[in-house]
Amino acid sequence: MIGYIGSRVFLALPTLVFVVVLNFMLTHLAPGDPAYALAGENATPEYLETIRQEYQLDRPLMAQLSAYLGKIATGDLGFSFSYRQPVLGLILDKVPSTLTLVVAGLILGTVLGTLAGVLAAKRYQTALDATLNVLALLLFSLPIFWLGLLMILVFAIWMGGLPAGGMTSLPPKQGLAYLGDLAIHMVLPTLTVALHTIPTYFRLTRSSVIDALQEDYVVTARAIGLRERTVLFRHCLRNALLPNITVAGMMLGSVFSGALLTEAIFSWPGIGSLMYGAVIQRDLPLVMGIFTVSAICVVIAILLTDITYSLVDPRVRHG
Amino acid sequence: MSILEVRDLVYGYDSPRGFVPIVDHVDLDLAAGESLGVIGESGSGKSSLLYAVMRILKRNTRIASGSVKFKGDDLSRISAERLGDIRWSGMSMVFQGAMNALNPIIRIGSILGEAYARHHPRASRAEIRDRVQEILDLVRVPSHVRTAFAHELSGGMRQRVVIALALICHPDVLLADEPTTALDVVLQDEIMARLEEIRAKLRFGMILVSHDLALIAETSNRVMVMYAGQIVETGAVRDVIDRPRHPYTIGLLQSYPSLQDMQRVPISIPGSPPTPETAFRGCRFAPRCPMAEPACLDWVSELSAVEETGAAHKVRCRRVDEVDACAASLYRNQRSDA
Repeated sequence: MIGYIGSRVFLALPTLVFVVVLNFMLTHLAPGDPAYALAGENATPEYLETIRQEYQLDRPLMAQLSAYLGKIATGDLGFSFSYRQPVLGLILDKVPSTLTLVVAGLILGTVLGTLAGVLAAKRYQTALDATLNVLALLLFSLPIFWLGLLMILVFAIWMGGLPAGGMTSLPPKQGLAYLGDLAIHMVLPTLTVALHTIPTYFRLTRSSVIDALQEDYVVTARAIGLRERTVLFRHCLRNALLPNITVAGMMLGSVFSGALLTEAIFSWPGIGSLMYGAVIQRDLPLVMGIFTVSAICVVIAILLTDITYSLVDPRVRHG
Repeated sequence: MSILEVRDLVYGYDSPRGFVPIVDHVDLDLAAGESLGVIGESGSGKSSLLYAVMRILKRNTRIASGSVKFKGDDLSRISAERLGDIRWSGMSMVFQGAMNALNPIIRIGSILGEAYARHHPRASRAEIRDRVQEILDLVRVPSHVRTAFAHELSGGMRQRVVIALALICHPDVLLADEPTTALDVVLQDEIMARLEEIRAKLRFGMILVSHDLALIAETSNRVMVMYAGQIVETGAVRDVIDRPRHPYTIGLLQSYPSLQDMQRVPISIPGSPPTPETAFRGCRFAPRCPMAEPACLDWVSELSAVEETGAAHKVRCRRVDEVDACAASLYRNQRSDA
């Protein structure tokens, strides 16, 4: 088991390096000179040159890349142009609020999607199954930014009652009232993130449960006379839901990016809002830092997924 | 007195062009402790017959008519709860393909124990453990297998476990669907011998589905030959094997090499079995039958008793009285064509 984890960690390292290099290249390919953004519109050519020298933007790209990689290895993600603070600290400050949204959304989406999938599989080829399928397709086709705006329009403006943005009321409340206030503010963003993940879980669960219900060992369990509940949960779902664990890890990447967009829509003070600002400001170190931290999070999530899977499915341990 | 009584059973599926029978008007009786062999080519409906008897209906299939009575209970009229009680404790099944019949993520001992506990709700943990051990000993599976998962076992071991699972509640009837098909001949023989030994001890009735005639000749009292969902010949094993009265049975018998007569070359029945969706006319075997006449295609087929061997021996053939005379030469000309 230790060897298995060790080899998985070792394999994750090249992935990370690749992602960091890719991020660096992509952000430098994008149009827009960060020096302009820093200097402001009326800057003189001499001033721009000074800034380029100060931030080493005049050095060759490869030299910049190797310097960047060297710094990342020591845990230094660089210095933000726009905030004039170390990038790492800026990001770490926002991690808790983003994580709250990602975890809540992922759990809600997984649970709802899986339940709907099991329900559709049990009622395979009925009106309920067809309805759920159409709904899932609809949800799958809606872009998250549109879905978020729609939520604000319907629940915050037309119906009222739910806040359209922010993480807490201003000024923030204290104690238990703070948690209640947070929960109310979380409803719409969490739902937006969750709705985005539901279709994937729904489709996956539905098809694997339909297959599993036809498996010989499920037929055996029925033939033995076991109660339908036991057959479904113990014999069918425990096998059928194994792929969901794998997908949870992969989905985390998509949920994370969904959450970043959602934050920007709901002005949720997390990494997403930070990134949105950084992109507008052409704050390259901050943008790259956020990408790098996201990549690390996703790689760790997939790693945890593989380990969980090997704990749940005895066949993987030996394979 | 029959413990299992099947009358006029029709089992099949609905297709866009109407109901398609896989098992067509089958009657069957099994006395307590008796062993009945069911033989036929792949697709003849022999496995489906077992599933219909056990009422394990695969998706889109249904029992259209007929009755299955187990110890007097009509299985189509009792509640699902009662059916669940009867299954396994009264009538259990060894599934074809032991590879997939065991849940891959539950330990063997737990699978066996769960089945026992379902039918013995008051059993203590210790009692369940003892019973699992006892049944594993009976099929000669080492006790460390209890904590193993199915994928860790060899094919033969898995097959023994599946047999142990079927026997753990001491059923009155065991339905065995080609229990040894996936195994090599030596292992096949060993496991069947073991099963016969256990049967002699526990005295349960058995329906053995197989396409291995020798296996059925060795283990069964009676045999039923199926073709295209129908019974074409049934009777005591000796009667059917020594004096087969249906051209199809003769074909099956001749397709096996004989140890007594090394000169005899095994033949094959020309053609292949029809699919259930075939629009049948008259005798279903007629298109492949060496004795077929045009009139066979208009014949309303029925099972009738063979006079010499008694009422238990029944055959579905229009020319049953002429079969004996032709038996030796049947299929010979086809072979030279082939």
